[in-house]
Amino acid sequence: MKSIFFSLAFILIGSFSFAHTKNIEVMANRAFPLGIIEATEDAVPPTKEAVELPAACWIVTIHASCGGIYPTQYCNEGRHGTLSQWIRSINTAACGPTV
Amino acid sequence: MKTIFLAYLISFSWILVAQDIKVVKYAISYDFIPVVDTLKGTLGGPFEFLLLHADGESRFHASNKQFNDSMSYVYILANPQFANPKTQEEAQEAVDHYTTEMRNWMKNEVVNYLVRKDFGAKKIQNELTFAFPPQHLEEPLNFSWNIGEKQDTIAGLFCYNAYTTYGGRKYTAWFSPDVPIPDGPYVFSGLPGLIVEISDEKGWFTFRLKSISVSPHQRFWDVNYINPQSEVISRKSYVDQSIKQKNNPRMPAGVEVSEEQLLDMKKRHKRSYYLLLESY
Repeated sequence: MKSIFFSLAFILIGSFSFAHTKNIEVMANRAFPLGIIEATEDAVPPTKEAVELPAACWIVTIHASCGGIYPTQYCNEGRHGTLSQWIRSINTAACGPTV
Repeated sequence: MKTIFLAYLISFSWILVAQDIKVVKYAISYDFIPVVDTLKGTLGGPFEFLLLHADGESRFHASNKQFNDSMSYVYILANPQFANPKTQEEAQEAVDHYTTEMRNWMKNEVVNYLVRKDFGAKKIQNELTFAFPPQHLEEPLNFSWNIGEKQDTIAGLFCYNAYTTYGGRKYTAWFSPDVPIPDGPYVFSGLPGLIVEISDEKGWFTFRLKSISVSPHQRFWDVNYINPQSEVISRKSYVDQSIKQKNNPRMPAGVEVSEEQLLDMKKRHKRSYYLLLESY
């Protein structure tokens, strides 16, 4: 029981000091952007802009080359690829295969 | 001022071009002949595929995809105003413009595989081409071949035969030591010469050499060949989804589709045995 308690305490204290050190580094990096304390990627928190990417989604209607009409969501956040790639993949799914 | 703008535009275009065009070491085309009726043994196609190699990486996909990709790339360079829509209206306008402009250019790429062989990292990435969100299979690139004693001349090249097993199937390959390229169609590679022909034991899937170009030349080279957000999936998931797509096809997630359209898709996929190439 004692050993579990001490292990937990050790982990808690350890993570607190780590977080504390990290905060100091962050503050230092903000205060001295030119690097009195060397900036590291971990120490500098990402900016709000970097966290909240301006991803946008739209509902667009794609007219497939074989005649069908397909309303579809397209988001510019990467998974859909470029708009032209997305149009082509819908067209391929809608019109193919004709093996 | 105009000169500065023009110079800026040219240099910017050059950066774009530099990112998406590469000098390939070789470009080899293959005919893919898949079964379309397993009971009668009827074969379909042929469908032309392309094997491109640059900087220790090979890519294998439908020749029509290569054509469509490069045409789309030229379209984007020529129509930058549609590249980044900001509103719903602009997005629809971009879709309509692309569809209208490219309708007469686009080639059919319904039978497609998309395979990337990374010879440095010794891994194969195989995209589940119909899936959305994007997914791919990732497996080590280490084929074990048994070289046979048979010899033949295929496509004018002196060949030896070799055997391997891959993805639940046994394959017989014919390779030519006269073409010292240890590469081949689809995922296959690692023989002491180019794979000229490869076929599974049932004869359902055959790749046959069509043409070779070993003089370095520029080709369109998509920097995001495998979507960077593509999820790595297991072989079981890859195969199960492929079987499902053949028997009960679905449109990519987020696409509205009517029951009638789905029934039509189902009819057309009856002969899509090419989706069953991978097994376990």
